[in-house]
Amino acid sequence: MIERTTLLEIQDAMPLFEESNLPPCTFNLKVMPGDCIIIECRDTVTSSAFADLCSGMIPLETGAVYFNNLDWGKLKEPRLSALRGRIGRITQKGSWIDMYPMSINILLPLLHHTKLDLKDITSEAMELCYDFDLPGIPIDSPRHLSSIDLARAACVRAFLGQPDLLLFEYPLENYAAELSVPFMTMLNNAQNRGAGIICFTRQLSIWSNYRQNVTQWMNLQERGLTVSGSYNVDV
Amino acid sequence: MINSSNNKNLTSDRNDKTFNKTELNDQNVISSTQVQEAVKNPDKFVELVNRQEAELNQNYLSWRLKQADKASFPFFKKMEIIVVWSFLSFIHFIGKSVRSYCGFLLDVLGASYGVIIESFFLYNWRRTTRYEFVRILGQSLGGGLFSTVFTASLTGLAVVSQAVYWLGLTGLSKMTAPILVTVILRELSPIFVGMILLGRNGILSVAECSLLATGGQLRTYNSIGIDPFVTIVLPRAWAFTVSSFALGMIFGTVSLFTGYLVTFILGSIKTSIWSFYSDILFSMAAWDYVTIPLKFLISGFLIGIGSCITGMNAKEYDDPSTLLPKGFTRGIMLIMVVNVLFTLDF
Repeated sequence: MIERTTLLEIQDAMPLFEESNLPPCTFNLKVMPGDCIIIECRDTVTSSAFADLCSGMIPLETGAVYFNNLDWGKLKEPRLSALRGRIGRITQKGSWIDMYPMSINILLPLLHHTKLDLKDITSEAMELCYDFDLPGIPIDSPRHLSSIDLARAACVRAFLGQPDLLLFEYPLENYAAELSVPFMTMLNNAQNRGAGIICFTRQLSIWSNYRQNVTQWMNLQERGLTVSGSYNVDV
Repeated sequence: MINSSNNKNLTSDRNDKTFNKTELNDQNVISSTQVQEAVKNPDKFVELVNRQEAELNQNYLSWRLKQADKASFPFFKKMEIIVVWSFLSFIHFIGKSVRSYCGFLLDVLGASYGVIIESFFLYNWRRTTRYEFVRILGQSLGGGLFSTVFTASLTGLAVVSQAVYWLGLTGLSKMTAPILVTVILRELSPIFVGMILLGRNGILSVAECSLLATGGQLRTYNSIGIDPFVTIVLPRAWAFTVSSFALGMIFGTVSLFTGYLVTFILGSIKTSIWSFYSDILFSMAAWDYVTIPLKFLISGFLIGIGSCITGMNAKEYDDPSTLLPKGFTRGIMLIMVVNVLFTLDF
């Protein structure tokens, strides 16, 4: 049984204009455990900024953002970083550190935030790699991996450690054919265990197979975050 | 009673005496397209604003020169305005350059304080930090070992053998050990080791950190709750410190050994290697045992921090051709500052 306390709450939050790429308006959003919110946003910069807002990385002029009932604005290090460790993210830019092998890149959040045995982390990562059609944990440098393998590895890293909140920036946009089945299966599992999910997309049609599990469809544009009703696209 | 035409005159007169910025702002207004571009590229926007401010200042100068026509001695008034204006620009130029260098030194001092304080907290030494520490230590020690041994051998060949030979000729053989301690151990080795460390690993750090900064990886680090200062700057600073000390000790030992070997083969020295080393050790003052290792430790530490800061402060428009020379000159400056400070005091 999922405990229904608010996972993420954006309460009349207006980001500082100078510090963010978000439109200058107030944002409101509530994500409960097990929720899946699909946000249509054409601009990758804006979507990254909104994901940053959810992660407490953007200073606010007014309002507050709560994650697990903790106000991002009032948290100090090291609790701030520890809480961010409970978020799984797929970013558009700068996901991989070239100086580390891919295995370290994938395991990095868990190696940093937990004291779990390396063997346990590796076996969990290995299972996720198999789920996403990777032959194992890649050990090459990110430079040497193909873009589809990087997308698969990004999914593995985001789901690793069963995070409470998943923030995905255009996870299926270029690889819907290869990734949609394993990705949606994992998404469903995450929803069932009570994780909150926010996905940014440019193409709503990608989500047609998952629409029954989506709790809210939204739009992020110049006017801010708006509810776009239900998904109604002929597929 | 003042009529309306008088009123108008008064207003225009007042406007003449004050610089009407709004008029100029209308000319220099930033368009909405530029604002939208600014959202995507803040650095470009800052550049645009700076350019427009400069234009505004230029307009202000011409306005003041026009105002000077109404003064009693317009020529002298204009000269005064131009001299003061040029002087202000000169002061601005000096201030900008000084602030840039002082800013870097203050950044290094601040980051050094941060690294030392954060190192005391056990939770900062997580697996990721330890991994980076071991990786950089291996890179700097393993990579710098051959260069250090080679440079030390050449130094021994050139300095030690020459010192022993010429001092022997002039009958000052007893001065050999103190001179070698001063020249090689105290002065040359920290500079050479610092330069090897800087060239071999410091510049690599500048490149790596700049790629992290410009590629958006530092932001990703933050977004997954990993503090780049703790996982990159802190371990690198300590790894550079340890390897600087280790390479320094290797440098001293190898250079003295090579020098001894050459002079022994040439017949300029007859004593055993142990008594040669013993002479060197006895000629060292008690302070040398503190200052020489300290020089290695501090310069290694500062090279680590300076390289990381230079790299992490890289902007999107920075490229290796500007960044790497900047990293190198800053590193050399730090090495020299440490050496000069210690030489002044001791």
